Amino acid sequence: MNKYYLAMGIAFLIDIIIYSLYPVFNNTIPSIGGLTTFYSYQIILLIVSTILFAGVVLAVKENGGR
Amino acid sequence: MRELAFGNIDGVTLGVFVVLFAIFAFLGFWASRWRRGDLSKIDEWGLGGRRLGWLLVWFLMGADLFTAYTFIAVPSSMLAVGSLYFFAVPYVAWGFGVALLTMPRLWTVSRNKGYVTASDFVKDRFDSRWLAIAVALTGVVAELPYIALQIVGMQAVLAAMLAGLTGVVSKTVSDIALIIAFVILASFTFTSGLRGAAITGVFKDILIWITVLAVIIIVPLSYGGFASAFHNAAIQSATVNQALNHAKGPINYGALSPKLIPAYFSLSLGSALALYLYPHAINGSLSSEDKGKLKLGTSLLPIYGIGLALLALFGILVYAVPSALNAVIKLGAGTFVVPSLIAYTMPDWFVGLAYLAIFIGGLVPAAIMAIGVANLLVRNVIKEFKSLEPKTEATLAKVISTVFKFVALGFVFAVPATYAIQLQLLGGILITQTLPSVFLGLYTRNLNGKATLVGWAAGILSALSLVIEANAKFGVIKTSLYTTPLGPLYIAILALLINLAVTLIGSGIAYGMGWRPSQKIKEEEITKEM
Repeated sequence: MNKYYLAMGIAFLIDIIIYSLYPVFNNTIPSIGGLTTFYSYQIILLIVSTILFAGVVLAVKENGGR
Repeated sequence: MRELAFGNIDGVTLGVFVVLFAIFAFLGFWASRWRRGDLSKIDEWGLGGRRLGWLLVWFLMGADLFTAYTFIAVPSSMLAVGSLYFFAVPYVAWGFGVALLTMPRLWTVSRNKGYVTASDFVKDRFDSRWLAIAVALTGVVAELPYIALQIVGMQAVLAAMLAGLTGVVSKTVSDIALIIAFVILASFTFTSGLRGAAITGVFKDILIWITVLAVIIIVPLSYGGFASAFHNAAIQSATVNQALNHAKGPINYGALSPKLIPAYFSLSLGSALALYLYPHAINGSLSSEDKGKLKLGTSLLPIYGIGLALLALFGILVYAVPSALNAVIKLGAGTFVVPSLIAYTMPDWFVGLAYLAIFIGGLVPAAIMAIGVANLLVRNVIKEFKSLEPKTEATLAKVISTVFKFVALGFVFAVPATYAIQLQLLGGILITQTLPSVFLGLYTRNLNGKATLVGWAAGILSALSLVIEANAKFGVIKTSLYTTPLGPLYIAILALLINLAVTLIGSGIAYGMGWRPSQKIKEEEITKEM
């Protein structure tokens, strides 16, 4: 298996897991800007997802590489 | 017809809207001269000559994927139903994860073999003409309600504008304006293809970002923000539930009811798997200049999800602006959430800018989707039965893309907005059934073409059966969820599991009977540029 696809597959799995930790974020506790944690957690994860995916794209070359 | 005024809309609003629309139309025509290629060839017209850089691909995909569904349908559903519709956020993040695992491979094999659509790849990979036709036709059918949704968004903006200018909502005037806008779109798509959509997509995305950021900053500061919105929602949501859903009781906005977690997860996953199977998304990916730019552009797309999340939250933020909420209740449709919030909180000139952004936010994706569908129909269905000269092929694709937009336009006139949104979810259910042939086909050649075709048929038939059964008690399509022992699940996922089971078992049987995989595509043709 090409290193890029392996790394991206792992990043994708991590992203699914962090978005599925419902006991952690599915609550009405107010957080940033008056939003409940349910919303603010998932919005912050969009930035985490971008860093995760862009990190793999920039760090792992498709044909072998770093 | 009913009497009302609509926020700060006046002649200045209309003036700004018209001037910006004129600039938009000019850009569309001008784009046909940009990096001029031979527009009589289908991949020049349809894929921008495959010369778009990563920044333009990023904008194009944003214009392409964040649409009237995002800023009209999702906020509307958030207001009418509550937190369940925030599934659109994990869906967006995961959708780009799926894209990063599949689109670089599809881009590479398409570059090596000269493919323009996913069906071109499926035909060679499985050595099956009929499977390729099935994949193409599924894409065509799934796009129709998606295009119709864009028109619903455009119509909501025009109706709000006319309500503000005349104090009267008249469907006839709104319909006429819609037809004029569509004629302009059809003519510039016809002459400039994907390049027209790319350039206008940049213009549209800049306006969308200005609109979203201005409203999300100004409204919370001026009206007490989300704390005030959640407070008001606790008091008023029962009234909204009665007005929009004709149901009793409050709407749950704060968090997700535990019994809806299976629905939330499966809607996110099913929609994410569907996203990059749509012809317009594949078309956008294949138009990238090189694989590195495609990957980088796609990996940065979750940033767009922040805009989507903020727009979804307008469905709750509207509670912080009582006059805007009252206008939505008076009009009796959740589709007015964003137009109403803007009209009641922003100055007249800004309302014109924002409405134009939302309006062309429907027009541009409609153009891109129609181009994708035209490519599919000509290359993967019509050419299977009749050989065409390259020039005839390009002309036919242009004509079909134009006709297709008008078919969708008629669809809107014939179907109320509420049902169009449900049909979009049905589109997602259908397109997901092409996953084994397109996505799995990119990773393995060990699936038998006939077994995959039977799996596709089983997926489509079971999907339709489940949709009919789930909605039997309503008489119309009101849900895309099917109740299982695990809880309510998105039908796309259930039908896909049936599809996969049939495909895998069928391929095993075929192998046992002596079938061996097609050698038409070599492994390195999917992973390396030759």
